[in-house]
Amino acid sequence: MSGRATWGGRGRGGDGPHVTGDGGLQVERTALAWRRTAAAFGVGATVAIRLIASTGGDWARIAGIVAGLCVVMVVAVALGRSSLVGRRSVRYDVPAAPPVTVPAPAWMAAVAVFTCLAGVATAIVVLADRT
Amino acid sequence: MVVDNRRAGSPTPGAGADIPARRRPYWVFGRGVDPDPRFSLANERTFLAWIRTSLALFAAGVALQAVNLPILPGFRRAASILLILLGTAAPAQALFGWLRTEAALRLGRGLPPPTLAAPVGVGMAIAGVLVLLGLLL
Repeated sequence: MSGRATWGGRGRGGDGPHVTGDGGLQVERTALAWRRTAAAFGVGATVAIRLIASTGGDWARIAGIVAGLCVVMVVAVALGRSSLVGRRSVRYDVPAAPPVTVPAPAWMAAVAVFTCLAGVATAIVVLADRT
Repeated sequence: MVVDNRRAGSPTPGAGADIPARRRPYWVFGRGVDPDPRFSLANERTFLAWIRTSLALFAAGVALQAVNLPILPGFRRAASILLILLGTAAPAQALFGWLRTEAALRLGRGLPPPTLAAPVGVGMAIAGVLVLLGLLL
Protein backbone atom coordinates (compact mmCIF):
# COMPACT_ATOMS: atom_id res chain seq x y z
CA MET A 1 0.00 0.00 0.00
CA SER A 2 2.29 2.73 -1.16
CA GLY A 3 1.15 6.26 -1.74
CA ARG A 4 -1.18 6.49 1.21
CA ALA A 5 -2.00 10.04 2.04
CA THR A 6 -0.34 11.76 4.92
CA TRP A 7 -2.94 12.50 7.51
CA GLY A 8 -3.47 12.77 11.20
CA GLY A 9 -2.77 16.49 11.22
CA ARG A 10 0.11 18.58 12.44
CA GLY A 11 2.97 16.85 10.78
CA ARG A 12 2.30 13.27 11.65
CA GLY A 13 3.55 11.20 8.76
CA GLY A 14 0.94 9.00 7.14
CA ASP A 15 3.30 6.46 5.67
CA GLY A 16 5.11 5.60 8.82
CA PRO A 17 4.54 2.24 10.42
CA HIS A 18 3.20 3.62 13.69
CA VAL A 19 0.46 5.99 12.62
CA THR A 20 -2.46 5.54 14.94
CA GLY A 21 -5.26 7.83 15.91
CA ASP A 22 -8.02 9.09 13.70
CA GLY A 23 -7.20 12.57 12.49
CA GLY A 24 -10.18 12.66 10.17
CA LEU A 25 -12.45 11.15 12.83
CA GLN A 26 -13.51 8.62 10.23
CA VAL A 27 -14.83 6.12 12.72
CA GLU A 28 -16.78 8.70 14.66
CA ARG A 29 -18.23 10.22 11.48
CA THR A 30 -19.36 6.78 10.34
CA ALA A 31 -20.95 6.03 13.71
CA LEU A 32 -22.74 9.39 13.63
CA ALA A 33 -23.93 8.72 10.08
CA TRP A 34 -25.49 5.48 11.33
CA ARG A 35 -27.09 7.29 14.25
CA ARG A 36 -28.67 10.00 12.17
CA THR A 37 -29.89 7.40 9.71
CA ALA A 38 -31.45 5.51 12.61
CA ALA A 39 -32.97 8.76 13.89
CA ALA A 40 -34.41 9.47 10.43
CA PHE A 41 -35.91 5.98 10.39
CA GLY A 42 -37.42 6.54 13.82
CA VAL A 43 -39.03 9.84 12.82
CA GLY A 44 -40.14 8.51 9.44
CA ALA A 45 -41.68 5.35 10.89
CA THR A 46 -43.47 7.31 13.61
CA VAL A 47 -45.09 9.61 11.06
CA ALA A 48 -45.81 6.68 8.73
CA ILE A 49 -47.47 4.61 11.45
CA ARG A 50 -49.50 7.64 12.54
CA LEU A 51 -50.70 8.11 8.94
CA ILE A 52 -51.35 4.41 8.44
CA ALA A 53 -53.21 4.03 11.70
CA SER A 54 -55.96 6.34 10.50
CA THR A 55 -56.68 4.11 7.51
CA GLY A 56 -57.03 0.78 9.31
CA GLY A 57 -57.22 -2.61 7.66
CA ASP A 58 -54.87 -5.57 7.24
CA TRP A 59 -52.56 -3.84 4.79
CA ALA A 60 -52.12 -0.95 7.19
CA ARG A 61 -51.22 -3.38 9.95
CA ILE A 62 -48.65 -5.12 7.73
CA ALA A 63 -47.13 -1.79 6.67
CA GLY A 64 -46.93 -0.67 10.28
CA ILE A 65 -45.22 -3.89 11.35
CA VAL A 66 -42.69 -3.66 8.50
CA ALA A 67 -41.94 -0.03 9.38
CA GLY A 68 -41.48 -0.95 13.04
CA LEU A 69 -39.19 -3.90 12.21
CA CYS A 70 -37.20 -1.62 9.94
CA VAL A 71 -36.56 0.83 12.77
CA VAL A 72 -35.54 -1.91 15.20
CA MET A 73 -33.10 -3.38 12.68
CA VAL A 74 -31.49 -0.07 11.70
CA VAL A 75 -31.13 0.95 15.36
CA ALA A 76 -29.50 -2.43 16.12
CA VAL A 77 -27.01 -2.06 13.26
CA ALA A 78 -26.35 1.55 14.22
CA LEU A 79 -25.57 0.54 17.79
CA GLY A 80 -23.26 -2.20 16.55
CA ARG A 81 -21.37 0.15 14.28
CA SER A 82 -21.24 2.83 16.97
CA SER A 83 -19.34 0.42 19.17
CA LEU A 84 -16.44 0.88 16.77
CA VAL A 85 -15.80 4.26 18.37
CA GLY A 86 -12.98 3.95 20.80
CA ARG A 87 -12.21 0.40 19.81
CA ARG A 88 -8.50 -0.13 19.62
CA SER A 89 -8.72 -2.65 16.84
CA VAL A 90 -9.41 0.07 14.27
CA ARG A 91 -5.89 0.96 13.28
CA TYR A 92 -4.71 3.07 10.43
CA ASP A 93 -1.21 1.78 10.11
CA VAL A 94 -2.39 -1.44 8.53
CA PRO A 95 -4.91 -2.04 5.78
CA ALA A 96 -8.43 -2.62 6.98
CA ALA A 97 -9.48 -5.95 8.34
CA PRO A 98 -12.98 -6.36 6.88
CA PRO A 99 -14.76 -7.64 9.99
CA VAL A 100 -13.86 -4.43 11.80
CA THR A 101 -14.00 -1.68 9.23
CA VAL A 102 -16.61 -3.13 6.87
CA PRO A 103 -20.04 -4.07 8.16
CA ALA A 104 -21.54 -7.42 7.27
CA PRO A 105 -22.87 -7.28 3.71
CA ALA A 106 -25.96 -9.21 4.83
CA TRP A 107 -26.89 -6.40 7.22
CA MET A 108 -26.30 -3.78 4.57
CA ALA A 109 -28.53 -5.71 2.18
CA ALA A 110 -31.17 -6.10 4.89
CA VAL A 111 -31.17 -2.36 5.59
CA ALA A 112 -31.52 -1.56 1.88
CA VAL A 113 -34.29 -4.13 1.29
CA PHE A 114 -36.26 -3.14 4.39
CA THR A 115 -36.04 0.54 3.46
CA CYS A 116 -37.67 -0.34 0.14
CA LEU A 117 -40.29 -2.59 1.72
CA ALA A 118 -41.32 -0.18 4.45
CA GLY A 119 -41.45 2.78 2.06
CA VAL A 120 -43.45 0.95 -0.58
CA ALA A 121 -45.84 -0.56 1.97
CA THR A 122 -46.52 2.84 3.51
CA ALA A 123 -46.90 4.44 0.10
CA ILE A 124 -49.38 1.80 -1.08
CA VAL A 125 -51.54 2.18 2.01
CA VAL A 126 -51.55 5.98 1.82
CA LEU A 127 -52.06 6.13 -1.97
CA ALA A 128 -54.89 3.61 -1.85
CA ASP A 129 -56.57 5.56 0.92
CA ARG A 130 -56.24 9.10 -0.44
CA THR A 131 -57.36 8.92 -4.00
CA MET B 1 -2.16 -6.79 -7.82
CA VAL B 2 -5.01 -9.27 -7.63
CA VAL B 3 -4.95 -11.89 -4.96
CA ASP B 4 -7.44 -14.71 -4.91
CA ASN B 5 -8.22 -15.22 -1.24
CA ARG B 6 -10.43 -18.20 -1.86
CA ARG B 7 -7.44 -20.48 -1.93
CA ALA B 8 -6.64 -21.70 1.51
CA GLY B 9 -3.34 -20.57 2.90
CA SER B 10 -3.08 -17.35 0.95
CA PRO B 11 -3.70 -14.68 3.55
CA THR B 12 -4.34 -11.16 2.38
CA PRO B 13 -1.07 -9.24 2.25
CA GLY B 14 -0.79 -6.70 4.99
CA ALA B 15 -3.73 -8.05 6.95
CA GLY B 16 -3.87 -10.37 9.88
CA ALA B 17 -4.18 -14.07 9.36
CA ASP B 18 -7.34 -14.13 11.45
CA ILE B 19 -9.38 -12.62 8.64
CA PRO B 20 -11.84 -15.12 7.23
CA ALA B 21 -10.76 -15.91 3.70
CA ARG B 22 -14.24 -16.92 2.59
CA ARG B 23 -16.11 -13.76 3.33
CA ARG B 24 -19.10 -13.29 1.04
CA PRO B 25 -19.73 -12.10 -1.56
CA TYR B 26 -16.60 -13.50 -3.20
CA TRP B 27 -16.69 -11.09 -6.11
CA VAL B 28 -16.08 -8.33 -3.57
CA PHE B 29 -14.18 -9.78 -0.63
CA GLY B 30 -12.58 -12.77 -2.31
CA ARG B 31 -10.26 -10.62 -4.42
CA GLY B 32 -7.73 -7.91 -3.96
CA VAL B 33 -6.25 -6.56 -0.74
CA ASP B 34 -7.90 -4.88 2.22
CA PRO B 35 -8.02 -1.16 1.46
CA ASP B 36 -7.24 1.80 3.66
CA PRO B 37 -9.89 1.78 6.42
CA ARG B 38 -10.75 5.43 5.78
CA PHE B 39 -11.93 4.59 2.27
CA SER B 40 -14.11 1.72 3.46
CA LEU B 41 -15.67 3.92 6.12
CA ALA B 42 -16.33 6.69 3.59
CA ASN B 43 -17.93 4.09 1.34
CA GLU B 44 -20.17 3.03 4.22
CA ARG B 45 -21.24 6.64 4.81
CA THR B 46 -22.12 6.98 1.13
CA PHE B 47 -24.37 3.94 1.50
CA LEU B 48 -26.09 5.61 4.43
CA ALA B 49 -26.48 8.87 2.52
CA TRP B 50 -28.32 6.98 -0.23
CA ILE B 51 -30.54 5.28 2.36
CA ARG B 52 -31.45 8.66 3.84
CA THR B 53 -32.10 9.98 0.33
CA SER B 54 -34.50 7.09 -0.14
CA LEU B 55 -36.26 7.93 3.12
CA ALA B 56 -36.61 11.57 2.06
CA LEU B 57 -38.03 10.54 -1.33
CA PHE B 58 -40.57 8.21 0.29
CA ALA B 59 -41.51 10.90 2.81
CA ALA B 60 -42.01 13.46 0.03
CA GLY B 61 -44.09 11.05 -2.04
CA VAL B 62 -46.30 10.03 0.87
CA ALA B 63 -46.63 13.58 2.16
CA LEU B 64 -47.82 14.82 -1.24
CA GLN B 65 -50.75 12.43 -1.00
CA ALA B 66 -51.37 12.64 2.72
CA VAL B 67 -51.44 16.41 3.06
CA ASN B 68 -54.26 18.27 1.38
CA LEU B 69 -52.54 20.66 -0.96
CA PRO B 70 -54.19 22.75 -3.69
CA ILE B 71 -52.59 20.69 -6.46
CA LEU B 72 -54.54 19.13 -9.32
CA PRO B 73 -55.13 15.49 -8.24
CA GLY B 74 -53.69 13.97 -11.41
CA PHE B 75 -50.44 15.92 -11.17
CA ARG B 76 -50.22 15.35 -7.45
CA ARG B 77 -50.64 11.62 -7.85
CA ALA B 78 -48.14 11.44 -10.71
CA ALA B 79 -45.52 13.35 -8.73
CA SER B 80 -46.18 11.22 -5.68
CA ILE B 81 -45.78 7.93 -7.57
CA LEU B 82 -42.64 9.20 -9.29
CA LEU B 83 -41.06 10.15 -5.95
CA ILE B 84 -41.96 6.76 -4.47
CA LEU B 85 -40.42 4.95 -7.45
CA LEU B 86 -37.24 6.98 -7.00
CA GLY B 87 -37.31 6.12 -3.30
CA THR B 88 -37.47 2.45 -4.25
CA ALA B 89 -34.51 2.77 -6.59
CA ALA B 90 -32.24 4.62 -4.14
CA PRO B 91 -31.57 1.66 -1.78
CA ALA B 92 -30.55 -0.43 -4.80
CA GLN B 93 -27.98 2.22 -5.65
CA ALA B 94 -26.96 2.26 -1.99
CA LEU B 95 -26.32 -1.48 -1.81
CA PHE B 96 -24.81 -2.15 -5.23
CA GLY B 97 -22.83 1.09 -5.20
CA TRP B 98 -21.39 0.09 -1.84
CA LEU B 99 -20.42 -3.41 -3.03
CA ARG B 100 -18.98 -2.22 -6.35
CA THR B 101 -17.00 0.56 -4.68
CA GLU B 102 -15.63 -1.84 -2.07
CA ALA B 103 -14.59 -4.23 -4.85
CA ALA B 104 -12.91 -1.39 -6.76
CA LEU B 105 -11.07 -0.27 -3.62
CA ARG B 106 -9.83 -3.80 -2.98
CA LEU B 107 -8.57 -4.16 -6.54
CA GLY B 108 -7.09 -0.65 -6.68
CA ARG B 109 -9.26 0.24 -9.67
CA GLY B 110 -11.14 3.42 -10.48
CA LEU B 111 -14.34 3.89 -8.53
CA PRO B 112 -17.60 3.03 -10.30
CA PRO B 113 -19.85 5.98 -11.11
CA PRO B 114 -23.10 6.32 -9.12
CA THR B 115 -25.31 4.77 -11.79
CA LEU B 116 -28.63 6.03 -10.47
CA ALA B 117 -27.52 9.54 -9.51
CA ALA B 118 -28.52 11.09 -12.83
CA PRO B 119 -31.90 9.28 -13.12
CA VAL B 120 -32.80 10.24 -9.56
CA GLY B 121 -31.86 13.86 -10.23
CA VAL B 122 -33.89 13.98 -13.44
CA GLY B 123 -36.82 12.27 -11.74
CA MET B 124 -36.82 14.78 -8.91
CA ALA B 125 -36.77 17.63 -11.41
CA ILE B 126 -39.77 16.11 -13.21
CA ALA B 127 -41.60 15.67 -9.90
CA GLY B 128 -40.95 19.33 -9.12
CA VAL B 129 -42.30 20.39 -12.51
CA LEU B 130 -45.41 18.22 -12.00
CA VAL B 131 -46.09 19.84 -8.63
CA LEU B 132 -45.56 23.30 -10.11
CA LEU B 133 -47.93 22.60 -13.02
CA GLY B 134 -50.47 21.14 -10.62
CA LEU B 135 -50.35 24.33 -8.59
CA LEU B 136 -50.55 26.72 -11.56
CA LEU B 137 -53.00 25.04 -13.91
